Amino acid sequence: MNRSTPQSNGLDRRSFLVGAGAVAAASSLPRVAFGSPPPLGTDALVLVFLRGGMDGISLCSPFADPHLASARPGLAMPNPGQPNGVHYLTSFFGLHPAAAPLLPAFQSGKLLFVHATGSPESSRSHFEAQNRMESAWTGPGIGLTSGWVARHLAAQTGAGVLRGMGTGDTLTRGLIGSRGVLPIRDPSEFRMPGSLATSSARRQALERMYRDAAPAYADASEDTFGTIDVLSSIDFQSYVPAGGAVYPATPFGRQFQSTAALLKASVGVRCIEIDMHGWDHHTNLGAVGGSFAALTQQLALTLAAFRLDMGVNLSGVDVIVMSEFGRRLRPNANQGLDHGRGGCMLLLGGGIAGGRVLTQWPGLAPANLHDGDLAITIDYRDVLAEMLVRRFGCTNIAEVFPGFTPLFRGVTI
Amino acid sequence: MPLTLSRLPVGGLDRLLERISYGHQPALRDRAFALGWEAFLEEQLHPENLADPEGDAMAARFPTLSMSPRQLFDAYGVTGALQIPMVELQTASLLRAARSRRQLHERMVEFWSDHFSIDQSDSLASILKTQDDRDVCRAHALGTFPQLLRASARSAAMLFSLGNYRSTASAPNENYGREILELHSIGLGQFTELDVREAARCLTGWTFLQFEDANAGAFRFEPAMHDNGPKLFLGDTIPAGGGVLDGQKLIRTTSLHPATAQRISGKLCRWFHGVEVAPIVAAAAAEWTATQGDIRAVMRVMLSQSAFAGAPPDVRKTKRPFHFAAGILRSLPFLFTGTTALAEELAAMGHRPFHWPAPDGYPDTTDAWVGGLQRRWSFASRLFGNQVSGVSIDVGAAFGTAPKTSWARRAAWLLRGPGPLTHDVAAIQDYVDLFPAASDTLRAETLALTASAPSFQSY
Repeated sequence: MNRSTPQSNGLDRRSFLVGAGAVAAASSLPRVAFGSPPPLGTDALVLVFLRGGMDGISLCSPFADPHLASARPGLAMPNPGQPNGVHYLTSFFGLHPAAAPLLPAFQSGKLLFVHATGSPESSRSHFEAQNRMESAWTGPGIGLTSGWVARHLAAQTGAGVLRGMGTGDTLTRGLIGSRGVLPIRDPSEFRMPGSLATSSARRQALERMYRDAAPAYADASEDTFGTIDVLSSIDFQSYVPAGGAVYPATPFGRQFQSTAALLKASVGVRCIEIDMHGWDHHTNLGAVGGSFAALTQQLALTLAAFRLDMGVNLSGVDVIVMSEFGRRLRPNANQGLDHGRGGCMLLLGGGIAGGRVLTQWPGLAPANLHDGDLAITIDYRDVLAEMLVRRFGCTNIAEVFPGFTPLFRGVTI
Repeated sequence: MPLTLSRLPVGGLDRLLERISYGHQPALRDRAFALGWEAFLEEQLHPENLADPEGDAMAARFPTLSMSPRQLFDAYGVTGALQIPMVELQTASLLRAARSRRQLHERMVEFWSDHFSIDQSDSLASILKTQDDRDVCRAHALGTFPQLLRASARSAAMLFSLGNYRSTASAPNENYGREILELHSIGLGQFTELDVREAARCLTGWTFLQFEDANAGAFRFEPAMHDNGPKLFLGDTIPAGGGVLDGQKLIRTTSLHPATAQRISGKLCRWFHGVEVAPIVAAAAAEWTATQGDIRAVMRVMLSQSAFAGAPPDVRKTKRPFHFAAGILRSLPFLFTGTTALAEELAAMGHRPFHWPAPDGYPDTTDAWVGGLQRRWSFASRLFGNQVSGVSIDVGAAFGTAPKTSWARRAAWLLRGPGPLTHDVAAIQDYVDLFPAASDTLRAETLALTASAPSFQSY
């Protein structure tokens, strides 16, 4: 708990803010942490949710923690400089070898790791943890059906017709609850179907039918037609990534390439969520060559290509990579890791104060663990709230994270 | 969130038909009206007694459906052509949903396929899900829940997907132990982290025969992997030395637990009535308890005339894309020449069967699906335009000699049946009237617009 970090006095400030938050809630004023400058702009947010519980200790490995090696026989990786060793990030943390494509972004100060972070909720259920993280609800039961991204986007009236999109099969919980947010797996195919000759007459018939339908359908159809107009103006098929960037030939890679094309077209999209599945490594997590490494490499290659492709445009874009929880410190019998607690977030973009590992490292000594796992010392909402207010032009942070007073940790420049 | 529409509710038996089927079909409607509510429901509750030549013929087109994991592995695992059994199962599911007479059974199979969700794209699950579909979800869809849960717990696909097949005494894998409690039975709030660990210990050694074995994919209890110590599960002590009985006790306790009766009755009520209706859930849960989890008996209560009388008449939930597509394929005869195109169409709508990447199954809420309208419009347009390869529809025959001035009404009858004529019909007829000449293109567009209308998106 006393390891030196950039935020070593954070806990004291935090306890002060708990009291301050209570006052703010009573007067129902939107309140953010003291001393925060006004919003800097309206960057686009690319949100990557790593479904399944990404093991932050493998990704951003605390190699200098004296308890790591003994807690993870067979899974802890060698120190920097050794064969198959982690890459040096700081004197305490090293990067998983498969994530090496991220090193240039880190070294140029555009990539930040936030470690020992997560939700104060202690659920080890994927679904409850994801639901609560995406709705940002901390009370009993399901108190909010909308998501934090959607509540932010709902107030972004200056955004385009298409305020946000998810690339998954359905809208995720985080995106539910705002106008102008649609599930779009492939933006190049989002157009009026059928023959061009009758397209506008058929569209008029559909518009007439949906205008008087139940509100959920009327709204969805209006957003759909507006989005058809917006996306049909962009030539996704002949898009060539800039800077020689090559995206992995995976759905995840292709979705990032489409995202780059969409963002460069400046049509007012404020958030694109691209999820990545498969992080639930109960078996054979592997150290340098297992399934974790393969996923990590795909993530790293994609983010590196995106950074290269965006070039100077990265100044208006920030990527947030998060997961519902970290994993157990100690492996199970299958050389996998069951569900744990504290995890790691990645922030990449023009507005990120990167090149660092931001943490109040709680340590892996048995006495410092939370129920046997990495404890959480930075609330994920602190990170998101600072990003929202400082980078994404959020004006309603008290609605986005109800009942919570965030502490800005200095993740933005 | 369910929707409330200001449209007149479909009356009587038509409401039952709408809720237990994938959509309108005159033959089934005639049968229901000939038998009356109780006898028709009873017939649907006994699919084993219901001759189903068309559904059987659909299934017979897919040879992998009846193959064992061993046969599938030898035929496709070795060559790496795993797509074949996967796509056959996905396509067969859609075609049976569309054409089987056992409509309630098919709706139940879809329900259980999400309740015990398995992602086929996860390695060996590509081969093993076929067996799981046949011997778990289909075999027990209207059986008893203790037997269904037991069959799932012995299913190689489930044991593989959630990692239990390698869980051992020295450090049990908690994945399946958690989900059997949280997702498959009692639900969140009913157990502690200690219960998860104890459940995992009970299930150590529950595995399946690997592909070196002649009977690969069969359940096997491996005593050497089992934790034979005493356990404390949900407040009850399980004495040491129980072996395979530990897991069986776990299944019995959880499948008959009041929380399971309540929770799954609630899920079924959302599935069939659109929302949880407290009196219906309470009556179904009571029947569950009284019959020790007899699913058929529970459904008899849930779908009774009096249950419908107590359900809000105007609640309509968005059809999931599978339901939407099956409803269209149900409305008209078509020639199927067997390709992968239908499965790809479902994937494009975000709903390829058995591909939800997490074990909680595809969502069943309007919120999650209503944004996908464009995908549905595209599917309807391509299908009726005969642009989905391997499926051909004779749109000329669909309209017969009906005059062009009645095409919108004709299409509404084909797709939606006897529901009230909404203003959708007027909008579509106005579209038809824009064009002086009758053509198959216009017929196809009329059908596609009808399937794209708001009134076809919910049930």
